[in-house]
Amino acid sequence: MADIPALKTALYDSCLAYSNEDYNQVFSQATLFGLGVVPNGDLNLLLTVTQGLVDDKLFKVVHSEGLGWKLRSREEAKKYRSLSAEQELVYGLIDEAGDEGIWSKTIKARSNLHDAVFRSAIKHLESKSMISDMKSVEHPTRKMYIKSSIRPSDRATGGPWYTDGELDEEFISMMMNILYEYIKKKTFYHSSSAAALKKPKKVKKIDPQEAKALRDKTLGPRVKTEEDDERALRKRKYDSFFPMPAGYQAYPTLDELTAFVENSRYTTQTLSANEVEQLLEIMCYDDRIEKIVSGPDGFAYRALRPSLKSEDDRQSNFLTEAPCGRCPVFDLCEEGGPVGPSNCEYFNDWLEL
Amino acid sequence: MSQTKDAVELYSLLVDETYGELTSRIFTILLRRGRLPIHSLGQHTRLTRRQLRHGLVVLIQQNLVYYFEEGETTYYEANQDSAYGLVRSGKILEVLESRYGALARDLVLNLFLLGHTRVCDLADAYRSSTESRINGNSNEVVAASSTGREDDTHVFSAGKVDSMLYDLLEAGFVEPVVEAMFRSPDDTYNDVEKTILRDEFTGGPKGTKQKEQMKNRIRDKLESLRSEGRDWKRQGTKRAWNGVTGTNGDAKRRKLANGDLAVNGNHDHEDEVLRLERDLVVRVNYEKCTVALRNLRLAEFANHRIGETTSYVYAELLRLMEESIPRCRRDHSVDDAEDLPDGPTVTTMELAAAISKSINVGTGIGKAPGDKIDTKKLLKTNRSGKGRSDGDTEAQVEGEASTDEDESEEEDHEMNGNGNIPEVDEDFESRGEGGVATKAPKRAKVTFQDMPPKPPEPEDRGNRITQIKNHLMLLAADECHFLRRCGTRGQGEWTVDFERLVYFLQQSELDSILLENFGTAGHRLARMMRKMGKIDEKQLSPLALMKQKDIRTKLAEMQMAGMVDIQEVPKDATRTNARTIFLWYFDSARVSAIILQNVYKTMSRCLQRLEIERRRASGILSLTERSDVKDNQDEALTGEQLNMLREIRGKEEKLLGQIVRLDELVGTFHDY
Repeated sequence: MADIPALKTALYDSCLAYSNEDYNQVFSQATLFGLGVVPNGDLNLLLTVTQGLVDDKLFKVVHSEGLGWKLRSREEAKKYRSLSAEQELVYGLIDEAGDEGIWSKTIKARSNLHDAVFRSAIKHLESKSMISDMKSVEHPTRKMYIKSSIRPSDRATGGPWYTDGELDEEFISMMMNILYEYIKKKTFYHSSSAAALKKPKKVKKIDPQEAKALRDKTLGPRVKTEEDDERALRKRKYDSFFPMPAGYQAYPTLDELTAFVENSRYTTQTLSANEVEQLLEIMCYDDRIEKIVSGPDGFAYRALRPSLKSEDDRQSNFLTEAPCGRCPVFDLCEEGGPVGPSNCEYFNDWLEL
Repeated sequence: MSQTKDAVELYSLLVDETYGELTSRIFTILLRRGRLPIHSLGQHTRLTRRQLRHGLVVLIQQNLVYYFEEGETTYYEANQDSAYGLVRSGKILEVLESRYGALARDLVLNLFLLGHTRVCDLADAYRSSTESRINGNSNEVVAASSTGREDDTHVFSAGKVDSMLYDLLEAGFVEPVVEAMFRSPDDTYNDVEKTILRDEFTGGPKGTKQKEQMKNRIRDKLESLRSEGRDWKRQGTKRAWNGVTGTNGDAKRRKLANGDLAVNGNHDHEDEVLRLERDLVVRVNYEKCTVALRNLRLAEFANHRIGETTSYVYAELLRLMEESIPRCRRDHSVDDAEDLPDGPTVTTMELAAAISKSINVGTGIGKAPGDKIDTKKLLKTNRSGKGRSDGDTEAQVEGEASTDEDESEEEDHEMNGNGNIPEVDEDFESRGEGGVATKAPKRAKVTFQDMPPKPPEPEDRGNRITQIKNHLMLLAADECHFLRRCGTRGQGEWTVDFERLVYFLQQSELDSILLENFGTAGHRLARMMRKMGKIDEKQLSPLALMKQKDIRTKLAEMQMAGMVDIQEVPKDATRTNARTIFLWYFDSARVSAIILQNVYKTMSRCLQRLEIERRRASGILSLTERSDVKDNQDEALTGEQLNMLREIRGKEEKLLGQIVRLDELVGTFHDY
């Protein structure tokens, strides 16, 4: 009779060496024989040895193209050995789910355990801090568990856009603004002369209507504010942004922008090119930038001129300017109806302005 | 033919506002009931025969009503297009004034007031109206509010009037009236069809070939009917030259040699060569005016997307094209979509010759080192898109590249720090100033030369063409495709695909409405759906990076407003929520239609409100109408009364101004 414990250790070690400590590799019967630990191709002996390893939790039985085994690390096996049968079952399922985590309901369904038993098992595992609960972005309401030793996958956390399972809109819009500023700088030619030379013209018009205007002043207060000046200033700034000539090749490309984000110190997160592209796509949908055919990569991005205007300067649409364009009861509005032009409050406010 | 409630309401309000209650009552009935003979018109309106005739005469005079005689009875039908044209009158006057001066404005204003008119009557009306000019013609507020200034009351001579009218006729803004214009297009079509059927295809066309043949015949006939007015005008005026003034070809040649029609000095009929036939009946051509308005809008759009200077270049190019564009939208019964030639084209040379010297085409585009610009690809793709491969393509491109280099030679070291290369950012400020100091300051407006002109340089002209070409290429390269390059003649030949461009314009209007009403989120979602078509609710969240809950709320809100819609696709027969896919989509055409109706309704509300405001202030308004007060308001009214007057005038201005602005949207979605 061979020395079973010695054989066990030898087989385990050689497996470990063979797979370079990759615990996901599956060993079939043939592979185990091929390692040459078990002499003479003795099937019974191999069976005994593997069974022993499975009992020690160092091997795990899997079914892939027939029977196979996977390795477990020694520490892992130790953890398993410390558990009761039910706890082991639950822990095994959680372990299998890996970084995706597993839904408590799935565990119950797969393990067929009674609710109370299941709960005590979970409690035990949690108290040993072997597992922890997690939130998945895809199913925010589900109670999920994951092994404490691993971090949830990007799919479960939602990648860089999520913080604690919540969509981090602040972060997203901040990143978009940073990208936008960068693209803007590269899109327009800022003519400082156009900004400087056009002094605010103090138009003193001496015309026959001046007398009338003077009289108007005495009749009622005319609202003339500083706002106009400020607005003119912004307008001048806006006008001083010139477009680049047609066929300009140096608009920023995706690679350039990804590198920019990586090298900047705005965030510690690393955004992949795909993720940056995701942001850029959204900015295209927001009509702030556009994707154009240009440059060495075939595509590049450039800022759109209307996006230069700030929100209050943006020319509001003709329709939404009138009270009707924003009226909540526009569908009901009719002369003689419950609301109508004669008793419209919005019109009152608008005309009083 | 059927019109929505909102449109009908607006049309009748417009007629009411301009021509009074009697006419609007008849007009409304005609709109609501379709074509009617006079006795049923009487039944519906409860007006006497006399009143009806009176009203109809006015309506026909203004071309607001078509009529059609069939045997004994005459049918009347409302003409919605010219009813809507009433809104546009102010804007048309403005355009004409900016192009042809105050005289054209006054003439057309009179034409608006009189409807279709004989030339001699128009001249008389013009003379009498200018002589007794008073401020604030209150029953023509739509027009008056936007023309605003009534400063020059200088009376032009009759000869001037004629030559101005000739110009307007020539440009197509005013057209001679022919009989077909009083008939509705449908009647004309039926009539033509009937005649051709009777004369050429007895017993109806047989087979597809004959049907096709007949369609072509009808189209030809309609086309000739439409151009009838134009031909008739030329003959008529020619006859007038020979018949009335007795001048012959010499005089005409002299006039052509002079070129300048608006010669100063006071000409009379005797020495003015142009004299229109006194009995020529003319009216305003709304279709042509709409073309001019569309050009304005498109130039504004170019300004919005590219820049000011470029938009001036574009406006000039559009103006050149305008001569050969009689109307914005093709009439499908007349024009064949397939075999229409490639729209009118303009070459760079023509444009350079036409463009005003006061526009400094050297500015408005950023400067970049030559190696960063690759126009070759641009030109090539455009040409291949057009399916052209001219022999001189390469040479052309080569030449261009070299001029580019020449030009940027001294600019290269000076200009390339325009913020593109980060290392040289520090001294960007000073260099920028030094670099552009050589350029003339950018003009805010297209004005007449009021500064000393630049000293003429020998290479100035060639330079200018290159600069203009740069602007044109910028326009062509834009995502909206303002221009399409279609040839190489005259330094590049350009055309405009109006339909596609107007589509972009509509989309941009839609976007701005969505942005205003539904915020960034709604705007983003709608544009995503427009690009991707129908899309599952679940997919929107990761793509838009928005919370599922927010998306749902926003989409529901937009659905309520009719902007987006949802399609449910059940996975199985149970139709439970969990087993159903919800696809959201954005239907541009439908949304445009909804918006258009909303605009109509908004315009109606503004008009109604205007009526109410006037009624509230009727006391003060009737006071100003009094003959003794009318001419010297300042003395006759107290301060308080003046305040009240100013208030109501301010409100009027605001409401009418709003209507005119809303018209811009109607143009975008309906007419352009």
